[in-house]
Amino acid sequence: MYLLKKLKAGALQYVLAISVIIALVLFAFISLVFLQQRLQVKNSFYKQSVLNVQYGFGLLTNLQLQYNEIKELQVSENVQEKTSFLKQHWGVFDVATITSIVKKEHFKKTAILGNQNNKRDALYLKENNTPLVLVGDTKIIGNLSLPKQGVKRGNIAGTSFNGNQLYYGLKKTSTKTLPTVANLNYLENLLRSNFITDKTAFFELSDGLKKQQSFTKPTHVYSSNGNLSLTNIELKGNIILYSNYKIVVNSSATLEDIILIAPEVEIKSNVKGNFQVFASKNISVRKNCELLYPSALVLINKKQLKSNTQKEELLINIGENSTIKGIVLFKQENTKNSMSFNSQIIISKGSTVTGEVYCNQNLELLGSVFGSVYTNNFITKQFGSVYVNHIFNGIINSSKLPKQYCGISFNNSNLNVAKWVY
Amino acid sequence: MGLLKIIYTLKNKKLVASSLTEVLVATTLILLVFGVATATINNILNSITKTNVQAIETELNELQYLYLNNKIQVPYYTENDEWKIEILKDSENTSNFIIFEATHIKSKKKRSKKLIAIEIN
Repeated sequence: MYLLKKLKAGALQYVLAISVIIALVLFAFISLVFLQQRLQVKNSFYKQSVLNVQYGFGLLTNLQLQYNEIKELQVSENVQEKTSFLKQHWGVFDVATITSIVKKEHFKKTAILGNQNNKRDALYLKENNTPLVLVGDTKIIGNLSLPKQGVKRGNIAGTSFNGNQLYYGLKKTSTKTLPTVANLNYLENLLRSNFITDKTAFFELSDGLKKQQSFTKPTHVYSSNGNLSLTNIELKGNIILYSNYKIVVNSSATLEDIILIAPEVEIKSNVKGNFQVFASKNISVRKNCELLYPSALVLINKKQLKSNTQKEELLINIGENSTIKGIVLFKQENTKNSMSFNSQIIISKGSTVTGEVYCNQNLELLGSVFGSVYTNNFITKQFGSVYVNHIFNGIINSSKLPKQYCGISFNNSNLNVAKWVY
Repeated sequence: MGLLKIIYTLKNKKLVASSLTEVLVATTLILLVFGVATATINNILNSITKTNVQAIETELNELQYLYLNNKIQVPYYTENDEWKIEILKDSENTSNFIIFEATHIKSKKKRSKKLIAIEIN
């Protein structure tokens, strides 16, 4: 009824009301546009920081980064942008964290890095003045570096070489030295627990534990003085487990990206996971295990190898039907006068290594390697005899290795992302 | 019947008219307010369309991505309806740079991005 009352200022009052409404709408519209523009600017800064981080990973190849040292760089000409790089050791691999700050926006990404090599060879066999002998269904696909004596067909207990061609690839001559692995000192010191710094935090294991640790935070370490058996546990990320006796991994343990360090490490049947193992005496991988990329089995032996003992003490044993994606490395210190006829790495029948195998002693290859093999010698034990530099039913195929694979760093490394971590 | 009566009286209520001056003032005011409002909105909308560089930014980002993944040969040149895009190599002191530059064909406006060159050894 109010509207029907007599109005005094007549139309003017309506005008006022309408203009207030228009002003409100206009103000709302202007503030919307303003807000949108501010968000757009914020978004573009954020986008720029994401792009900078991405670009930073591309730049890793031509930046000579020092370990554990933050390097700041201005990737572009924009003064407001700042990108910082941090490279750290993570077992055989490296971990890099790149942070980019554009004005107030920042973005961070972490990745496990390895050495990428586009001209990958299938085999590097050190010059020991003995030819390589292929027997049975052995197949080598890819370029190879061999001793001057080259490669020939052989016969073990009546089985001869079945292939049409000895190898599929280019042949080069090898030298008396294997390529040197970078960071070997660091790897040796891992066994002497050099990974413990002031920042390291310790934790306790318990049944059913689920634990994650970010790579941007300090490493968490569990150290044990006895036998360490991992069952019913879930560990992920920046975690190191250390035992000065033995570590046993059972199939109920879920491990991702972590490092295990002990003189002896046993990986039970059907274990599936992604971890690096460092040992000084023995690594045994039982049947049907699946170690996902990027994993590593590293054994560094300091003791002299005995040539006459029947018992094989030191070796990396990869059981039947196991798959390892990553690096298998055996390194013998003081190789002088240690001529052994035992194999130090055994890749059993039916098992596969996708990645790299490095052995500066003897390698027994009965399974397949999809990637590269660097070895001092091959050895095959069949029918009660030991055959030096023979491969029996082994397969080496470098073309089956994905191009994106990043692995062992040699001295001229071209670092690239192996796995994104958080 | 009562309802009909009410409706009838409401319909035929006499409105009080305003004087001519009042109406004139009101009309001017309303026109003024509308005018200001339209002008402002027009201005804002214009500025939005003018500063919209998303398309070209996206294209430059794509080129940077291609460069990062080694899928493009430097120097590189391309042109579309509105923009000319160039990628050039430049060296200052000891370090090399890659310049991504887009120039608007009509307004000659430039957008550029300079990055440290990636050298694959």
